[in-house]
Amino acid sequence: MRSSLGGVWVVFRRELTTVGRTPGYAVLAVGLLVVLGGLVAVGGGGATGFVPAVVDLLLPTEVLVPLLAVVLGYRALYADAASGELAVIRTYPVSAVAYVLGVLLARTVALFALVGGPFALVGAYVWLTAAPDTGIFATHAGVDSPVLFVRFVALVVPFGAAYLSLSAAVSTIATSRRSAVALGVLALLAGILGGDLAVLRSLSAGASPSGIAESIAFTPNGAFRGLVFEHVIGVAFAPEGGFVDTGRAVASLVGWCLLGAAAAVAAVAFGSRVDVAVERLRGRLGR
Amino acid sequence: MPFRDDFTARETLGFYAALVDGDPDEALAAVGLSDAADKRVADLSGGMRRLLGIAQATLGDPAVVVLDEPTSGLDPEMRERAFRAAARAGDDAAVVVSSHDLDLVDAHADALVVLSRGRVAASGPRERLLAEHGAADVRELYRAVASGSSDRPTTPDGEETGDDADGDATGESVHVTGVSDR
Repeated sequence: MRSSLGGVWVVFRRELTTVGRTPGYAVLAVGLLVVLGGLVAVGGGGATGFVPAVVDLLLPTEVLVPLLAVVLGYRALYADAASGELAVIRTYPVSAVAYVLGVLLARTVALFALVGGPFALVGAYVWLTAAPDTGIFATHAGVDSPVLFVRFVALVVPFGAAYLSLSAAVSTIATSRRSAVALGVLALLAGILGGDLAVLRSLSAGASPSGIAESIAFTPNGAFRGLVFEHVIGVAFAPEGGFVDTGRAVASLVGWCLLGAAAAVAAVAFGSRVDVAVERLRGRLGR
Repeated sequence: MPFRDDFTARETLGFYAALVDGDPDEALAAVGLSDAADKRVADLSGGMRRLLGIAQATLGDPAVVVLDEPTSGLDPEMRERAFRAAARAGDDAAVVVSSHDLDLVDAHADALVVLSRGRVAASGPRERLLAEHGAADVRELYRAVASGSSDRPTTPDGEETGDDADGDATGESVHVTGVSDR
């Protein structure tokens, strides 16, 4: 192995192989497909079109995709650390950055497959059963289109990646499988509910409602929801937009991904030194 | 060994070999695990896992290989295989083995470090240490050093305690480290 990129690739392949051999993930994807299909069916079936389907799926997506991402990420970095294999890997010429990137990229590809597959099948179902005008490849106002559904799925990926990255980062501080689960659930609840509750709290404290479009973009859920309204649902029904600042929302999702990755790299790179410092401190205090 | 259970022995070494441009099949052959290359790590015996660990530690021609109790919990045949594998690694690297298996240390180590209660009680080339303590083998050397240590018990920091003159300095408190010549 000669370059950092080579290290990322080697770790990536190993991680993707591990995910591929975990049948539980495929079961989750099937479960997601059943839930998404059921929701579209209950909402009037595929005949209603792509945008109505997105409206039906938006709220469940805000819960289910983070859930799947956390399931994929909560042990991503903890597993090697707990088994002791991370200590072995760190004796090889692979940096903390290359290791974390390899793991996260592999898990993100897996997330893309596990989430993208069910959404693509639901999209195909709508395509096959929707009214004739939904087959028009146009995105101007008032016209339903498969392109809008593709946009929705494209937004789901960075949304899920943000949760995956954050849950993987949180997993680095777990000390047991149980605590990894607890921390993952905590991250999930904080992400799904925390942002909206903070906005509600600020409104009740007297903040101006006109500021919601700005503040909502700071959380992963708010950014995702705003982008879906701005570039999927709003295209057909409210072309004037104004739901969210697109640049800010995209930067928010990318920022959460990078924040999680950076925290994970720091934990992998310096975690053992922190442990040594803590043990030294405990030793001194114990004397 | 902390390897992923679902991976085969070859896949496990393949991952590490890819990081250092090593040859996983060659490493497996060196420890006698060629026939088990396609077995999952979960299906390997404890001894085979230990051999897989030794193979992993020697990938990429490292200058130093450190093995901590590579034979603990193994049957006699596997212990011999593990030490032979470590000795073969010593052809190209300095191998440091921490062990309580004194017969195997005696058979394979070129230099010895005897640790007693956290400090070095004796160290040097095997032949010289045996001569200095009038011992025929490492087991006798161990007894000589252990009894010497029990006469003068020390703290882990090397300070003489002055009490507990009957303290048990044998067993786990005395540790032997074998070092190969490079």
